[in-house]
Amino acid sequence: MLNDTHPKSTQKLGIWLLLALTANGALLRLALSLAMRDGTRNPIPAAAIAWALAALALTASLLWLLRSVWRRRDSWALYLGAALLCIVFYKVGRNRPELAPIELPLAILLLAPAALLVWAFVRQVRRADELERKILFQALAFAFVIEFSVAIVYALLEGMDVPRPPSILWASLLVMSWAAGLGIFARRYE
Amino acid sequence: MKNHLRVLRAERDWSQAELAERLSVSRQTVNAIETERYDPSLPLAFETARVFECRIEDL
Repeated sequence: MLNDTHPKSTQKLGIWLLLALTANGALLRLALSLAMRDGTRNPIPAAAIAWALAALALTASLLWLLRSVWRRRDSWALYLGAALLCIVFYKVGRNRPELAPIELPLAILLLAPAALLVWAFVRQVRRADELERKILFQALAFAFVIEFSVAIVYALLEGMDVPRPPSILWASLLVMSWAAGLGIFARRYE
Repeated sequence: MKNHLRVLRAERDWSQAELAERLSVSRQTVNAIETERYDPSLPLAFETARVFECRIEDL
């Protein structure tokens, strides 16, 4: 919906690449997890190392492809996908004590897509025309109100021994409500 | 806001995408203005008048 002049096929390719990248990231973390788990008992199995290396190579090639799509101009779906990527990287392998030694570098690794996300968002807002800015602003306001309402409700329930939700809930809720807002408000002008 | 953008565009045989490119906006914005779902800002209205080489009142 934003000021993109590239064909729709490029957008679709970008979305597919991001989905592939996300799945690949999840696989990579699972392979690492398996390798670390077995490594506590025996030496790390060669198969796990091979899987991890294959996943790493695939990630690198997908990132390279994504770079070319990105250069031809991105779309809002790209940074939503980047958010998804962050979430999956974080989610898979969470609460796994066997991952502890590599948890910190992996957590730091997440800063790279997060920085990319900020850059993509600012660039997208700067490139948007007046109608697109209006839609973006309405979607952001919508997401803010939803997040705020849920946070207030949770704050009220907190004193009633309601189990604490995972922190990732807040980021996912913001992204999902924002994406829903974009869909709702963009439809008004179709 | 009522406008003759679709007619003016058809006279020049431009597609919505072509007009959008000339105005440096998205095709969605051109479509929203044509279907009267969105009123353009004054700068965009002036730019549209310049592209069609007409007065802003004739749009």
